[in-house]
Amino acid sequence: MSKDTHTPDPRADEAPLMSHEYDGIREYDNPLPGWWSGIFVLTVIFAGVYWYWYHAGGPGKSIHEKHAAKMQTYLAEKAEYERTHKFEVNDAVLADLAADVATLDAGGKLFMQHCVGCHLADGSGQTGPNLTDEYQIHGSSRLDLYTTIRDGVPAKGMISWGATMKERDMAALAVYVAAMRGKNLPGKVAEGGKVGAF
Amino acid sequence: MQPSPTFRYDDAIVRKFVVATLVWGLVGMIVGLWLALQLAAPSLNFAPYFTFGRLRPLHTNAVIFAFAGNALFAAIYYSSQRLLRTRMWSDKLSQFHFWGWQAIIVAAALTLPMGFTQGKEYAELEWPIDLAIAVVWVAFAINYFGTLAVRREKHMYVAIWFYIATIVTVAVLHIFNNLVIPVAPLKSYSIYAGVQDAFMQWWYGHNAVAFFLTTPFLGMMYYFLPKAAERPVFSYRLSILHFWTLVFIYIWAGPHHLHYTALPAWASTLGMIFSVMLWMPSWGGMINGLLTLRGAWNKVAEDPVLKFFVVAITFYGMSTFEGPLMSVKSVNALSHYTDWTIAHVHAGALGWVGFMTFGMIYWLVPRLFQAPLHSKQLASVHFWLATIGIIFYVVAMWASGITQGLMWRAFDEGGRLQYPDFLQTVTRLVPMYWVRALGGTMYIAGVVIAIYNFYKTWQARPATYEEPEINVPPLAHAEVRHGSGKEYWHRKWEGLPRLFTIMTVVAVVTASLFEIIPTFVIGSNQPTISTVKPYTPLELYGRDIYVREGCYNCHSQMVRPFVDEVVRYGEYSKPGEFIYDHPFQWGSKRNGPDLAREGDPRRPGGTRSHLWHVHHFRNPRSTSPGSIMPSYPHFFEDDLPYGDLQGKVDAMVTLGVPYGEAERRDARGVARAQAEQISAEIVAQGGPAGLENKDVIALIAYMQRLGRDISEAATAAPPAPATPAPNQEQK
Repeated sequence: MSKDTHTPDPRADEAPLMSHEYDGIREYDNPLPGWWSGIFVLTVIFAGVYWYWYHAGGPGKSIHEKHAAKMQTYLAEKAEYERTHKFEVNDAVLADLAADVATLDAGGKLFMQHCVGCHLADGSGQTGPNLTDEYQIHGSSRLDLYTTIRDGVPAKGMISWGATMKERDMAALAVYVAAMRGKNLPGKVAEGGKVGAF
Repeated sequence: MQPSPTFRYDDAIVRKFVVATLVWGLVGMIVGLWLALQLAAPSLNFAPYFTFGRLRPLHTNAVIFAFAGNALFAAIYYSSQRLLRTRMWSDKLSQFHFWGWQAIIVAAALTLPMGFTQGKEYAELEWPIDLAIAVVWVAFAINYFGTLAVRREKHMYVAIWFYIATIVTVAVLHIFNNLVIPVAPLKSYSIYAGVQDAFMQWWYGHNAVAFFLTTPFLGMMYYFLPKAAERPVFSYRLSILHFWTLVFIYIWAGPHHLHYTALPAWASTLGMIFSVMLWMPSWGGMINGLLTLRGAWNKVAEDPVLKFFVVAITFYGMSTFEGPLMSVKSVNALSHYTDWTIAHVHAGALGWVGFMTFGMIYWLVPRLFQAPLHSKQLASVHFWLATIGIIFYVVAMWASGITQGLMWRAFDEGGRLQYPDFLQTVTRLVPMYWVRALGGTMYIAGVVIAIYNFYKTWQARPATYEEPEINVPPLAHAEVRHGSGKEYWHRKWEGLPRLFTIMTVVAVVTASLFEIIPTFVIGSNQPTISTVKPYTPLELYGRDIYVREGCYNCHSQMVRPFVDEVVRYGEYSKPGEFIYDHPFQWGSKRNGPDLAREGDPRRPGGTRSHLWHVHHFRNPRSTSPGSIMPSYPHFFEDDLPYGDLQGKVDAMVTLGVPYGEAERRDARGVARAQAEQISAEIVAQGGPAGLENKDVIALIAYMQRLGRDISEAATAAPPAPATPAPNQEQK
């Protein structure tokens, strides 16, 4: 079997062997495969064109120009969407939502995802204040809660969720947090003014 | 002195390198598996020594410099002696090379988990070890060029060309990327900062792949593949062309690691177009490998050596197509910072480097131990376990990388990020991390089987190894054999190692200088920003902790000019922000979110409180459920070394960082005041007292500084209309 392998392949045989030999290794004098040279030349041409296009007087725009244009479109579209999909939040809307089980459910999920890091899962507070006592630092209404969630309290580390969260979701969160008030779980000491439960 | 006409090959040194390859390979891969499991189960981090951030450099350094390094040395020592028909020039230097290299590996294995690091990927080892590497490498080079000088074969075979390119280029890369100023026996600062440091690092990093993991392994292929296949090499002309194009083009490609960063666009473009042009030069090697097997395919089915080689070369072809593809800017926009890169490097490392190495060792072991391989069947089991293992690994990481890349950029119909919480894009990947760990386990199981197989073969060795005397006349006395075949101009160079080496150096250095000189000389590459000031002494030490813990292994500090990144993190990064960053810490992978804007008050959502950081460092899962970041309890135990701060500031002053009188005179006092202020704020926020003497304060100071300077530039200027100001006044 192994003897067979010494028989040169008939196709390979067509190419002459180079005269040199190193530790038994010989080399064929096969030409470069045409597709190999062809693709290599194409990549070189591509490189030249690309360089001209973006860096040597060609019409290509820089990544920063492209980004500025995309950012402008993005902001315009977002503003347009917000104008046409206005979700009016006021105390009446929030009071209605507070009675909606599905909204409270969604609010709970969001709370578990985004808020437990500072307020703990039961809302009793850690970095952030205790949400279950009958005190509130910023205002007293559900709308005040909503505003705090949206704008945050950057000085004290409360994130402004308005940058990333939808109005509907922030509303759901606000009513979920409002429903915690008055549970009076032991946790972080009460802060803010006394407001009572809802 | 008349050289003796007879000599013996030094195979004992090859045996040593082979054993070292196997031992370090196993160690490096087990550390890799541990890392894979840490990403799936963060409880496997054991601070301070065995966290992901400290172990990942150990893994990469071990597999590159210990596993691949010893393998390529084994290949070079075995094949060069035979191709040049001489024993190595100096046995003493061979021994020094071997033991010196192993000592360096041990030093790396000790210092990296202890947190001694330069904070640059694959160049983590601190300056005394770097010096040792330079010394050992130079000893190796002297021995090698000495061997070339006493060769008894006039012309150099293609494998030798690749070895020469490896030896000279690695020396150049290593020296110029590791220029640092020492501040302690195991601590230094890079002399370069920001953009320039990033450029040098990836010029080095990419060419470490080129000249440590590619050229020597191509040399290995050119020797061991035709030997094992007993077939002539497909095309001599292709060897010449792909060697020179590869050596010249590879060196330009480094900046493709820095697309869309603060690196100047022209450099990034050069990195991309040269990577694209590199495709065919790389494939030249693949073609010469695979087509050499024409007429020997029947052997491939039964010979484990050839089986490993075929898969290795196939992975080489795949990776060298994937590489240019990923270097295209728009593809890189998706792939960069994700696991796609991890898939790519492991196709190269496990597939190309690993399979070439094991193929070579299966060929060498019966010859070195002079006994037939213990079991061909076990070799076959190793082959299949490893092949399937790589496929699990690579497919899982492709899926994970593309999934995460797409999640980062997804917007909902209202223009909000679909996954605003970075963590959502991490927890989604955990199942794929388990699949990857399974693939890695299979690969390691294969290695264990191979080691057992080699051990059994070694047990059957003869009492003394036969060392046949070789009788080849020295060159001066040899008649240069003139064959009947055709000769090309290149043939002349092959007989002149000095000229050949000089031409290689010229190719590599010219290409490098075309990029390096403009990067350092053109001032407009790095426009200064007046509000960017040096780090305070406390922040500077916090940055040292960031480097020490290897935070850059999971966090980038580079917001790219993409809508999604600007919406997620804030303003994109500018070159002028990094001028005091010795070393740069842009990172290359986001297992966690980008931190460039961590302290910027305009960061979407605002900055986090000090207290949040306190809780987060103590246990990331307390603030971020599902986080895979390690806990860092030692930040709260280790005393802040106020006494060291003046030395650090002084080193920065030497590097040209413009510190004021106060810092130059009393860095300790300045740091103390800042620490006490932060500590008081933590107490005011309801946190623990007494942290002003602990490491954590410095790291928090650094976190809160990130991205803040540029924001002061914006507040000083007329208000920017792009982002609506938060209505704080209403409070």
